Amino acid sequence: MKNRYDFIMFKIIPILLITTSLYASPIQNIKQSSSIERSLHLLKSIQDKGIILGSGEQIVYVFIDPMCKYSRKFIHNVTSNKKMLKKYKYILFLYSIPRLKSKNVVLAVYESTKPLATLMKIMLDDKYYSSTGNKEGEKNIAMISTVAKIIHVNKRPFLIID
Amino acid sequence: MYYKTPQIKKYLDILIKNRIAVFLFYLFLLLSSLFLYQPKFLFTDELFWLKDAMKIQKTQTKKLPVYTLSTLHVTVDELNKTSRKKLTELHHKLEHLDGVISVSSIFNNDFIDSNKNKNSSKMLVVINADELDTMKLKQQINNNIHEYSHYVNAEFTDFYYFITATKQIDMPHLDLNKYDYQLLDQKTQKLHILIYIFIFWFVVAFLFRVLFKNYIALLSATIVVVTTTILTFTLIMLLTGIKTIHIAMPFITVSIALVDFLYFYYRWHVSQNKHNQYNALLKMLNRSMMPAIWTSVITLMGLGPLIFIDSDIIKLLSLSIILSSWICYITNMSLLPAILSYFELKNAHVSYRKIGYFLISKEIHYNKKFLFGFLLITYSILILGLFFSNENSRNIFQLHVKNEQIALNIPFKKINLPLIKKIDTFTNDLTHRFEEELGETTSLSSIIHTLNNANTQTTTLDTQALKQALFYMDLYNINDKYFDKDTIKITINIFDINKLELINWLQHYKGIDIYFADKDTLLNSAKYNQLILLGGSLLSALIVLGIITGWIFRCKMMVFLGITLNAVAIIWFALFVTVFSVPLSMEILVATAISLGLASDATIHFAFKYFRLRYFGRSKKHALEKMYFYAGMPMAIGSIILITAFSSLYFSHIHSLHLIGLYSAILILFSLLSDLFLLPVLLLFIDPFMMKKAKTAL
Repeated sequence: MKNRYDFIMFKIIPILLITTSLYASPIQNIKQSSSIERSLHLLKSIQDKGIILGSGEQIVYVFIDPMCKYSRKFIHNVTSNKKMLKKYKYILFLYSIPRLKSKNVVLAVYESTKPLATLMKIMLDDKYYSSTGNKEGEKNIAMISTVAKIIHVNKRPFLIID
Repeated sequence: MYYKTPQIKKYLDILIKNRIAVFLFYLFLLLSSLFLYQPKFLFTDELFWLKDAMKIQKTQTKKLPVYTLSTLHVTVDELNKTSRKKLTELHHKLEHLDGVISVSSIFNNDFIDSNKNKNSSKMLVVINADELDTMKLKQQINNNIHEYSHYVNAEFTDFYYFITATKQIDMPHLDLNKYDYQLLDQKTQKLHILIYIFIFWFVVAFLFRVLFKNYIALLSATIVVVTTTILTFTLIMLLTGIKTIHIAMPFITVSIALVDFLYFYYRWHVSQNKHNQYNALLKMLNRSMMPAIWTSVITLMGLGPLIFIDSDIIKLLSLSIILSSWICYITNMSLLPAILSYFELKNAHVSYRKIGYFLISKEIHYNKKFLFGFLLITYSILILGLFFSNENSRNIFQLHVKNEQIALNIPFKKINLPLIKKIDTFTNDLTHRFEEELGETTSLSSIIHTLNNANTQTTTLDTQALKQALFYMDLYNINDKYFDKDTIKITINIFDINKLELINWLQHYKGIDIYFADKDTLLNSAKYNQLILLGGSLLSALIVLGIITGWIFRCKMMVFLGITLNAVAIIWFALFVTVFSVPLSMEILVATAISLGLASDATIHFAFKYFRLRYFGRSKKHALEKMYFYAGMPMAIGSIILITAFSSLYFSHIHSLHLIGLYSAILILFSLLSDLFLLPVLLLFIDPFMMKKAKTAL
C-alpha cells in the first residue's frame, strides 16, 4: 500500500504537475524548440524548489549534491568571489548522487528554516545535518529528480545558464 | 658657370676688416639659438615612425590601448625545486615593475583539467601553475608540449617571460646566471652618448692633426661644424615646429659640414705653397664658392619637394641636408675666412697627393667593358629592386624574428557565436597561411574551445556551451587575459618568421577588424607602409639631382652621371641591407642621407674642376690630376675621417649609435669608392670637350 502511495506521490504527481506546467506555458511551440530551451522551461517550472544564491542578473541553474566534492568546490569558488555573486543568480537544486547517500542531508536542508545558510554550513564548513524528512521535502526532491532525469543530469555540479 | 672666376677681392677686404664683427654676429646667433632652442634627443626612432603611421591613428581613433611587449629569456641548468622557486619569484617580481600590466610565462599559466572520470561527481577545473609542484608542472607541460613551446623548451632549460607594459621597462639586476633582455637605462645612455661624441671628436681631431700637421684645421673645422649643426636644427625647429630630434640626425649635419668645410680649408691649405696668406684666402673663396653654391642649389632643388611630404621623418632628413648645406656654405664664406685670416702656414705641403696620381695613371686607360658591366649590374639591381618592391615588397624587406609575440585587439559589442566563429576563421586562415612558422594563437576563441572540450556537460559549441565557457572564465578569473570591456585580445606566438610578411597579411585581412596592440608591431607596420613612400621620394630626388646636374653643366650626359653617382652607393647598400635582412631604421635613412649629401657634393666639385680645366684646354690626364688634387683629396680626407669616426661608434653598446656607426661607415665607404673609381672614369667617358674638338676638326 505504502509503495503504491509513494509511487503516486513521488512519481505520477510530479510528472503530471510538470507536464501541466509545460502545456500551460504561453510558449506554444515548446515542442519544436531546442532541448536547452525545453530544459530551461522545465527548470523554471521548479524554480521555487531551488535555493537562491547571489543577486546577479544572469540566472544559473545548478544541480548539486551537498556531499559531492566538486559541488562543494563549485560553491566554494562561487561564494569566495564577490563578482560571481553580483553577476549571477544561482538557483541551486539539491540532487543526490546515489553513491554518496546524501538524501537525509538534502532533507535536512529543506526542513531547516534557513535552507541556504544550512546548505552553506554543510558544504563550506563541513557540518553534518541529517533528517528523515517530511512530505514537503520529499516532494521537492521528487520534482527535482524528475526534471533532472528528463534533462539528463548526469553529473554534479550540473549547470544550465539562462 | 664653371669657366667663370668670381671677383671677390672687395668682399674679402670688407670681411677681413670686419672680422671681429663677424665673430660677434655668429656668437650672438649661436647663443640665441642655444637659448631659444633646446631640442629633446630621442634614442629610439619609434615615435617618428608611429607619428606617421596610419595604423596607430586608426587605433587612437578607436581609443584602443597600445602596449609595449618585451621578452625576457632565462636559461637554467635544470628545472628543479630551487630553480622553480627562483623562476616563479622572478615572474612575480616582473609583475610589480613600474609600468608592467601583465607578465605571461609558464609560471602563471592556467592549466585546464577536464577531469573526465566516470563518476557523477566531476567539474571543469582550472589549475594555476602556482598550485602545482615542479613534478606536476612538468607533467602538465609534457602532456601538451607544443602548446607551451613558446614558454619553455622540451628540456626545461629555457624559459620565456612575455611582458606587457605601458612603456619600455627598466629591467633590474636579476639573481640569475644567464638571462637575456635588452637593457634600457636613459641615464647610462646619455653618459654613454656623451663619451662616444667625445670619441668621435677625438678621432676627427687625431686625423686632422696627422693629415694636416697643424691645429688650425681642427679648430676651424670644430667651429664651422658646431655652428652649422646648431643653426641647422634651430632653423628646422623654427620652420617645422618639430622639437624632437633623433640622436642620429646631427650626424647628417656633422658629416655634410665637415666635408664641405674641407673643400674650402684644403684649398686654403695647399694654396699657401705658392701664395701668401691673403691670396690663399682669395683662392679658397673664388675657387670653391661656385661649386659649393651649386651643391647647395642641387640639394635644395633635389630634396626641396620632399619637405612637402606629410612625414616627419622625410621632412627632417631632407631639411637636415638642405639647411646644413646652405648654412655651411654661408659659414665657409664668412666665418671661415675670418678665422683663417689670423693664421699662416709655414709647411703647407701635402705628402699623400701621389696616391691620386697613381689612380689617374690607371683610370686614364679604363676598360669600357668593365665600366658598362658594372653599370649594367648596378642598374639591374635597381630595376629588380623597384620591380619587387612594387610587386612583392615583403619578400625584399625582411624582418626575421624568433619567439616573439604579436598582440592584436578586436573591438566587440557582444560576445556571441558569430564573433567566436569569426575569430576561428581568422585563426584557421592564419595557421593555414603560415603553418609551422607560428606557434599557438591565443584568443577568446581558443580558450572557449579548450574550456568547452574540457566541459563534460557540453559537446559542440552552441549558445549554451559558450555561456558555460564564459561562466568558467568568470569563475576562475581568467577573463582579463582574453578580453576586457570592449576589446578582445589575440596573441600570436611566433616561432621563426619574416614578421613583415605576417604584418602585411594581417593588414590586408578582410574577415575581421584588426588593430595592432603592441608598439613593436605598429612600428614594423609603420615602417613597412612608409617603405614605398621613402623609396619613391629617394628615386624622384635622384632623378631631380641628375637633371639639375645636367643643367648646371649644360650637358645631357651629366644627367646620367648625376643620377648614377648619387645612386650607386645607395643601390649597393640596399642590396647589402636586403641580403642581410637588415630592418629599416632611422639609422639606415640617416646613413643614406649622408651618402646622398656627400655624393652630390663630390659630383659637383669633381665635375666643376674637370670641366673648368678641360674648358681652358688642359688634357684629360692633366684635368684629372688637378681634379684629384683640388677636389678628390678633400673629399677623400673627409670620407676617411668620417669612416674612421663612424667606425668608432660601432663599438658603442647603445643600439642606435652602433647602427649609425656601422651603416654610415659602410655607405660613406661605398660613396668614397664610387667617387674615386667611378666618377673620374664616367667624366672621361662623357667628356663633352672631345666631341666638340672632333666637330671643330671636321
